[in-house]
Amino acid sequence: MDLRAPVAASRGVSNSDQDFRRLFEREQAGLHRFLFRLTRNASDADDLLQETFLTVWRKREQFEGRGSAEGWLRRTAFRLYLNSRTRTDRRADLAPRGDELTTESPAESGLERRESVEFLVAKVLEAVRTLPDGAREAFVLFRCEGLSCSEIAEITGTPLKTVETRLLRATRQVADRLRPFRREVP
Amino acid sequence: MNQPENESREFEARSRGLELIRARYERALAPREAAELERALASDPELREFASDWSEVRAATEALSDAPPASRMSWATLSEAMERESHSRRARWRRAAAVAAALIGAAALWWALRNSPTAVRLQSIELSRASEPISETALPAVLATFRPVDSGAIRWLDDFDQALAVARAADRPVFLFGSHPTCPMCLHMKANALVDEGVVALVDGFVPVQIDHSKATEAEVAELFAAGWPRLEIYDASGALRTRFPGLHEAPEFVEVLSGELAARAQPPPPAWDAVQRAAADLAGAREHEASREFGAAFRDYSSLAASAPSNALAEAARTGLARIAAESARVVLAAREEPPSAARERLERSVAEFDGTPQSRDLAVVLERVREDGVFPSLVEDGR
Repeated sequence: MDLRAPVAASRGVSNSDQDFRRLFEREQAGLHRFLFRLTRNASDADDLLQETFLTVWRKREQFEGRGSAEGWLRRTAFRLYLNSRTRTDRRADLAPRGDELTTESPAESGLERRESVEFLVAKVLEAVRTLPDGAREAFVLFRCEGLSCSEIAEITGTPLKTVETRLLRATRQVADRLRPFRREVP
Repeated sequence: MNQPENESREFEARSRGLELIRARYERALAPREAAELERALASDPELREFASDWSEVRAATEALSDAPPASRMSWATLSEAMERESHSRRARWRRAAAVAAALIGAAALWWALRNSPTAVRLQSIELSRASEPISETALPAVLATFRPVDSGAIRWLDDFDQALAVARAADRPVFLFGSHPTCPMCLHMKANALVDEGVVALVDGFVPVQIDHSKATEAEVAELFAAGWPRLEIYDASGALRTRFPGLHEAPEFVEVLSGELAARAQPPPPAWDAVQRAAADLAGAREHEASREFGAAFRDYSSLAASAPSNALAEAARTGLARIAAESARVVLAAREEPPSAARERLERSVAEFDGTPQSRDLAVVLERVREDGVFPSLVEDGR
């Protein structure tokens, strides 16, 4: 689903189950992808997807018709994702840390591993995952979802200037992290 | 153009630059877009840095844009969740309603209890005493001034029952002299032995009573004087005959008999007539207070007498007075309970003043307070009874 598409067709969330079902069928795939990009976990994305639709259904009478239903869905999904991440982070704070980005150099990690595409993809994902909160989401939505800075600002409820700053910083940080593997990047 | 507007334009220009940098890796930029990007890069060093980084980062992060696994969620799954949610919400509403109802009920109960008449625990008043019979022996009024010997002569009582009552109060025996106008021995004794100083002095230890049998029938006279003329008898305070010595006696014989009776009396000696008179006067004063419904003063006098009366009979009379006060207080409460609140309040207000100084006054005051506050007569609980 392209969020930049005209919203007139999808404007408004009816109280009827039939209308809500149509909204679900129209938005399910795009919203699932959106959440998967953020969580990098299909199961978590499914859970958040259901929670998002339930939340919207529960609060459907609060939808005043301003903006699009898709935008409302994504803002809701993003808030739920943030809540979920906060809970996960709390658990992670209590758990032994072992998932930090490895500092191994290519020379130290062995020829076979260095040449492994999976290994390099893992490094990329790790580099993105370890971005600071806010910067990671801005980067992923810009890079993978193709959203504009202003769309990201609207969904995340963040000022445009902050989104730009986070995006610049995240890109620089990922580039720095990947520099040792430059030749191996697929 | 002001500064905030300038800044806003700069941010929008940078956003546009970022998006064009991203776009040029995905499609060919239109000439106008390419020119726009060139201008942005020329004016924004950070944008140039981003453009440099993006070429590497974009390629490296291609994997992030992989198509995700298909969602396993279906409308059926979501419908079930929505149904559960509805049930859950209804259950929450029901629970909330039940909790609210319970809270309202508890509040109503609390309010009802708070405003319901509170039971009064009576500490001194015993309601059962209101109808309890009080046996009392009235003390004769003469007791307050009576002395058996007055100005050197015997002061005879003329009623045997009165003499017995005085005897009980003075803790002395009764000396009975029964005579008849036709009896010369009787007249002789009156003129001789019964005016003898020694005899008179001994009579102070008795309660003398002279019975004139002039109105008795012949048969009665024959019976009364069967043993001799005059009748001379000594009774204890309970009315039991102790000694009978009829017939003519001169003073020495009289002294001997009376002395023997006094000597045979058990210790301790009888109270002085002064003490008996004072106690009798106090008792009479207490009775007057009681009759005037000055129960506080009556209680004080009765209590004092009960603790220090010169004889058991006087102490018992004082205790009987205290019992009457207690009974009256119970009658007041029971009467007030049967009355409308306004009448009950008036009765209790009056009684609190009347019983001031008695142990019962506290209970009466508490009951009155409840009637005033609640507007109805309270339920009563008798403490420990």
